Amino acid sequence: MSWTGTSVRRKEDDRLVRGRGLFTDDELEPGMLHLHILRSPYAHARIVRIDTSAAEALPGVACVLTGREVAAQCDPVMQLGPPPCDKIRDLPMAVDKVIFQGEPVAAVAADSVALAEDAAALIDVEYEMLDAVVDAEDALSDRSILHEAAGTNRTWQGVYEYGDVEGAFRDAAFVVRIPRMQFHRFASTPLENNACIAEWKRQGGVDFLCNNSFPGFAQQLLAPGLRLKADQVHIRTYDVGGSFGNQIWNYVYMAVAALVSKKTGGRRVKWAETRSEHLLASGHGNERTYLDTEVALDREGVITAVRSRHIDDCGAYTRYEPLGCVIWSQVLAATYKVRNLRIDFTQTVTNKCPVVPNRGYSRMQQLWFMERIVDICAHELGLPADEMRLKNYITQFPYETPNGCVYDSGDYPAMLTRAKELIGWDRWQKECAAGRKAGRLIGIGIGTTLDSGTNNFGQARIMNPYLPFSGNSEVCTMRLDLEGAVIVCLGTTPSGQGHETAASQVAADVLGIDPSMVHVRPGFDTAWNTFVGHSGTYASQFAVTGLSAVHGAAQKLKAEMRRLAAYMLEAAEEDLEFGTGAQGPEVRVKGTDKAINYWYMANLVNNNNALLDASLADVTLNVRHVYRPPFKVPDTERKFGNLTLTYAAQLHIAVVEVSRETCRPQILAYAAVDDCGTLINPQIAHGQVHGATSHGIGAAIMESLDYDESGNLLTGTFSDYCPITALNLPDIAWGNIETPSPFTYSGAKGMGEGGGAPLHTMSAALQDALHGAGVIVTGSHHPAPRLFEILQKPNRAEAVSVERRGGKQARR
Amino acid sequence: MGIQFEGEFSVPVTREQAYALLSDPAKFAPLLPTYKSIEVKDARTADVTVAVGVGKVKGSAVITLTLQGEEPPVRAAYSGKGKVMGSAFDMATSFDLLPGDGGGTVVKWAGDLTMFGKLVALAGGLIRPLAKKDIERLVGAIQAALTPGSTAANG
Amino acid sequence: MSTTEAGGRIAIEVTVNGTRHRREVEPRLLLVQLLREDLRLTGTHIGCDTTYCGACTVIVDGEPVKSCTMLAVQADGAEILTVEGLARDGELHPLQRAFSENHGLQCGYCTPGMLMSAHALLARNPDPDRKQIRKGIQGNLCRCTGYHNIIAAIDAAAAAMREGK
Repeated sequence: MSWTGTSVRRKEDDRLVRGRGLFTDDELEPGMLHLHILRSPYAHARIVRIDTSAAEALPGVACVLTGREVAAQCDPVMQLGPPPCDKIRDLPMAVDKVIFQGEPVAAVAADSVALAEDAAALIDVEYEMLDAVVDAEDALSDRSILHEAAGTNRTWQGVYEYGDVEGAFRDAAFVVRIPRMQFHRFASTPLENNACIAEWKRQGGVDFLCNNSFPGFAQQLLAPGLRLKADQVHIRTYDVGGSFGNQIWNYVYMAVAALVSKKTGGRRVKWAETRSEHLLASGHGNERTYLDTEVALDREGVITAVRSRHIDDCGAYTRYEPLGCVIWSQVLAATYKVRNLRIDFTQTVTNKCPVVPNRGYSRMQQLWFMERIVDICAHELGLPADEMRLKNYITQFPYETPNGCVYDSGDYPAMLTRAKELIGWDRWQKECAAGRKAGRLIGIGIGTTLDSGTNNFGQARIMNPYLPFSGNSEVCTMRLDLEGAVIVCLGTTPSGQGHETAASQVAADVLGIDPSMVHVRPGFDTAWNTFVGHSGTYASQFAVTGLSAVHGAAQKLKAEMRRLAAYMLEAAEEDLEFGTGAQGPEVRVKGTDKAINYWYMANLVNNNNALLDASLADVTLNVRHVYRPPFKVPDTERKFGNLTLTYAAQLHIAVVEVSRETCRPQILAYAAVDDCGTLINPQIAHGQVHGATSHGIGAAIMESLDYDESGNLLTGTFSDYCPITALNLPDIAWGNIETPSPFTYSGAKGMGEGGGAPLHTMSAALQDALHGAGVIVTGSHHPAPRLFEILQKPNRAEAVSVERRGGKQARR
Repeated sequence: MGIQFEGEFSVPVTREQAYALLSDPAKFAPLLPTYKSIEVKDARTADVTVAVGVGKVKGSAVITLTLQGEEPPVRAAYSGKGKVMGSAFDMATSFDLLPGDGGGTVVKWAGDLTMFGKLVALAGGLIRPLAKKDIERLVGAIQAALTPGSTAANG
Repeated sequence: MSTTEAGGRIAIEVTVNGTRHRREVEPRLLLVQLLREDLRLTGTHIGCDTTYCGACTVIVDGEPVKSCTMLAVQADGAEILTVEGLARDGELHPLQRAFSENHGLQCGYCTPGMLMSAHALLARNPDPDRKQIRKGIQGNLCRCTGYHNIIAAIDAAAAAMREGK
């Protein structure tokens, strides 16, 4: 039998359901110091003076650290962007001015969290207020500049143009114009806040226990910043309470904790962020504004060209940015076959919390944009929503997109059929039509989306040709320990995705044993484990990048065991088979009872090697495999190349009714169909789908990080941000199809991010419900107050226009 | 979050008398609602401690009040800066003094308050009405202080 | 069990998972801090600071309580059950088993609080329907699972417990 495709119960669960996990904040020991960070209440202000004397005088306070000391001991973090990004000085603490509310201004280490907080309240900071820019277009006017040395707030600009856009518009039967759309700011907010424990080592270097989810990258940023060699930055993780990309950025605070530990002479310092701090000053998702969008369509309603101007708002610092300015182009035209596109892409900083990768990072914004286009065109041309999709879907695979990406496999029409069955499309169509006649605001909408997995880091060079990044990799080591147990170490940093379980399934399949016989060691460790620069858990990496490494390592180990067994059993390698016998896992000669078990093989190599022939000198039963997907460096001039290895897809349908009385959007029915190729562990894969769906629905109707005009975050606690609860989420009908990827050993595709499907779907369903009321859905966030406003002032006249060029109408 | 207020009222004293009170931080500050204490730095500057409460969030705020841009006896103006519970606010207030009926004075006042930080997020919706109420109380207190024989106490 | 002042600290006594503890605590110490920091029961987690997320839910005298919203001194004399007290003789509680079997957890951070709210729900109502289960865990956030499998797990555990398994 094959363990791949089986819902093996998770190995992680036993410790977690018993409350015996080890999350960073769980570690506590006598003498440990606790860090509290004093943060700016201003979004933009000059720091005139800081007086820390009263705080330092408080008994129990070990030290206070200010931005000036940080600047003296620490170098700004490397900037990924081309000029003017090289002029941005990103230090872990503000020095002369603050540029977003919540930016660290000082840090206090004390014997307890409460004491540190008391002391921080005694620090006197004098600020001189500066004008804040919180709107992207306002920021681009440069009336108030955040990074003065850069001379502008614009961090990146580039044009992505493919095909014959002018020609397509010339020949169009219809041109639909949408002057403005807006994708809102939110974050997936993992339930465990950021945390780290830092200890500056006397022998040089620093140890961290933390919940960073991309430590391979963090080490490369922290080491030069802290003026250390990379290997002196020792990063460990253990159990991590969710990440969704948000935990990639927390190296900023790791640096603060490290410098505080250094100042105290190497005492262990713990920093555990509060939820309010997390919402205020960790990382938010990218906001995007879409301007002057024009869509060309032929007589049948097939989209022939799209042109638009996109402005991305990345908050105060370009931490992972401007990578978002290229990552969206992995899904340039989404699931649609349009080949003529021109997107003028600009990014700006604003006086808001910096953005970080957030589940569906940068692609979700583009996918929502394309879905809105398709959906608005369908409504304006009078085409049924499902037919509009079917006319425009890509149907041939592998499919090379206009910008050189290769969609490995997929069947969007089949997903649509499945989702329609699950929700009862025909019945709901009738009910919506009848309901609208009776005055109800009820609609049905489709959202199709992509989850691109295993990215080619070479795409970073489209953003900045001089970056020394390309390809991708992940690593696994596998060995037989002294007693013959199979031990696996990963370069990944799981935060709930069940890597211990899935990796054991893959290894078990290669070795022909039970997953319970494979021991995957939890936790990432730069000193004792194996890792590469791409190591981490992000961007739907694991199913392909991570598990291909496990698969390769298992094959290498198997090859060594086969050689060893052939020698000991005096048999030809091809006569051997792997399996489990009376004495545990073993290698045996086919059709005989001659066998050697894992214990004896481990014993021979580790304790008993005089029995071995010199020809086996290279057999160590301790192997390392790095998986490298077959990528090339993209053509940076043309902005062309394969940017991602696999393309999982999601198709959701929702039926939504907006209450006439309260304007609350209520989900009456919801169906979700997923295709991530071959499933490794169906239960885990489905769990990822459920979670991504919940995030998307939450973001569509509840969650938003709102700022006022002065740069105050107005949704700075969970009670204001309102993450989705069990009561807000409807029952969902789930479905799955499998189109195996031809590009991966298992047929699996990277998955887990979910592509923001519910955002597209909820917008489409609301569009259907409100089109009759003169509303065009041009935003991604739909709480009741916003729906109330738009129903008071329907926007159709200014939000969309259709130019008909004498052809027959598309309406059917 | 910014809040602007303005208004006018009349008092039965001369401009000089009104100006004398409004331009002296030591006399003016105690008229602030929820005034607790004052530390006079010089003739133009004082640190004033006031009680602050928004819903269940309670604490005290220190405002550094500076007489700034005054024109005796026609205009008294202050800039203020304060911090409270991890939040900060900047304020500017001015009193233009015009001759009124019967030897009295018309006080035209304007205030501009900008708030930053946690308090805005926690209690943004509450601050506007609270600030309005406090300004009304301040105006009442000034009027009372400038009306000889009035027994109306601060607040 | 009487509380006495001792250098600004207050003496309290709590019984946690059947074990009695005496401590002298700062008046401002939260129950969750007492559990995590003094008693080193770190299964109870902290996920927010406005009593929204429920990661810190424990059972105090039979009632589910968000332990970030109760002072340790308020728990004086109380019987407290935390996630560490659910398993008996190493055997998982039916709720713990059902969460694992139904994949009702991913990162596991919300799980202890979720288990304790479910425990309290099933103590009140051994046979809840899905809507009642949703209501029972409305004060507990999960950011990973989308709740679907958590609801299924509680449903399965309720059935198992009714059958005495």
